[in-house]
Amino acid sequence: MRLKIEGLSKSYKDKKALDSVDLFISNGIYGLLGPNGAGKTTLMRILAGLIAPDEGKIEFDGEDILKNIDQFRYKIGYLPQEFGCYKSISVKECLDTIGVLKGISASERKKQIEQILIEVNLSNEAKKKVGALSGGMRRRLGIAQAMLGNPAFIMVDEPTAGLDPEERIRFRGFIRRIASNRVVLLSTHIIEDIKNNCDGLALINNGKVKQFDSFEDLENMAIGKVWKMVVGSNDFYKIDSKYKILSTNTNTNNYLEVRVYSEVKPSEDAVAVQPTVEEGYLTWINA
Amino acid sequence: MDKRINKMVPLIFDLKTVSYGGYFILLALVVTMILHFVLMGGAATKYISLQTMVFIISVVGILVWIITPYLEIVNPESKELILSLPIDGLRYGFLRMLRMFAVYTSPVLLLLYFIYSISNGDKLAYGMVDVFLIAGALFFVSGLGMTAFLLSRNLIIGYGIPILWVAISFFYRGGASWLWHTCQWICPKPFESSLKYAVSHWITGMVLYIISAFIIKQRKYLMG
Repeated sequence: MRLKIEGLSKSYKDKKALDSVDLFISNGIYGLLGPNGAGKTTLMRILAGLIAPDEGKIEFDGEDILKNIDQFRYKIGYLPQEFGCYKSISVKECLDTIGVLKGISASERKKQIEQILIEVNLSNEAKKKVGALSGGMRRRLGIAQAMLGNPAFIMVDEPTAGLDPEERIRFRGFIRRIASNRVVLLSTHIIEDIKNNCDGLALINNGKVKQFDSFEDLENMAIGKVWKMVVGSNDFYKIDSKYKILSTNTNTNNYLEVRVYSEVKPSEDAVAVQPTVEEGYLTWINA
Repeated sequence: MDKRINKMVPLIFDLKTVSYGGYFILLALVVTMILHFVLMGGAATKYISLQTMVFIISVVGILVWIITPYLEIVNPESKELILSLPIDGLRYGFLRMLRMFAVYTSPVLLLLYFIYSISNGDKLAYGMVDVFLIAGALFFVSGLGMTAFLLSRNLIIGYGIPILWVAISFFYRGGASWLWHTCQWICPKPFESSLKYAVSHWITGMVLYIISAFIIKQRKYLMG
């Protein structure tokens, strides 16, 4: 299965939310990483048929989805950033209703709901009201509804926002498990969400998208721009005001080991080091 | 592409989504009944007053019953998900609204019939045309509320416009209400045919239901 986006643009008044975006995604989890307001949600909403692009083309398995959006909706599982519907009914009823709206038959719905509730670890909460679920449980319910109907294309927008670390790790596990034989597009501004979980990634900023074949390619963008320096704690404020500090560690002699971002060598004793994914990301965002 | 077909949202789901507000209206009807029988026990016009109150409360009730199940498509927390689903204007909108209208209006008409049948001389008319007019008035009010709610994407406006309309119709006895004198049954214009008003309400109500179903399909508009 393949999703192909070509020349996709969208403007709001005089602000360009998406600027001629090209993207090619195949089976597996694909991370869309960018700061808040970069255009991630706009891209997701266009793919979900909620807003129309100004121009561009989107194909799924060779089919033009902008022309067949009503039929394509049956192939989408979407977990938007905000998920808080049907608070007065139970988890099971909520899934059943969404299953009806997705056009799934009664027998198939029953089977799928039971299985999905086990997968997202919500079986014990099946009779609980949606409004009574914790934030983490509600996100799991969100992913459960996205999985209903076995969609070929799942989109999750900022899925781990507001989750505690344990829920976040569990959530990544769910996403990993559901990703076989389908395309999963995961939008986030949290690098950890995609670093150990995604098969590919694209960065988005100011409506522009750059696709990377591997995480190494992203790291390599920062080669020659990340430096390690050892400074006394009294001198820290001097470099703090001059350079972008990426990380700080205290070594055994009580000196600070500092990683800084700089286009030029910041000092005689600074050593260029292998950048991380985060540093590659910062380089692209600041370019 | 898949050939899955949407079905109607289960009725039990809608009955639960109506929530406390919807059932509070039914409670209000019961309280009105009790108050009239207890406080106005000896009053000559108690049945007319009771029928009028039941009708007025029902106007608010139909709005609660029709609009509440659709709150999810304007609520910022849920609309994105609901609108991304393959919902259609016919089943998700028109037929579902019609079903809620029927479910709510039937007991109201029965209640009015009950009051009519136990009353002696002091009562409002309750013939076929009157039933047609009452149901038509509720149909029109629900369509007006739903259209106002969807167009404005605002619950207050969804309730406010039809309630204002009914208030004008009631207090001005049809003045400025033209063919849509919703309270013709309880504050009739003399020498006017109730049937004319009933037909106007049903036709306009149907048009408003169709407009609402059409707006439900306009995802880009509802996304705001």
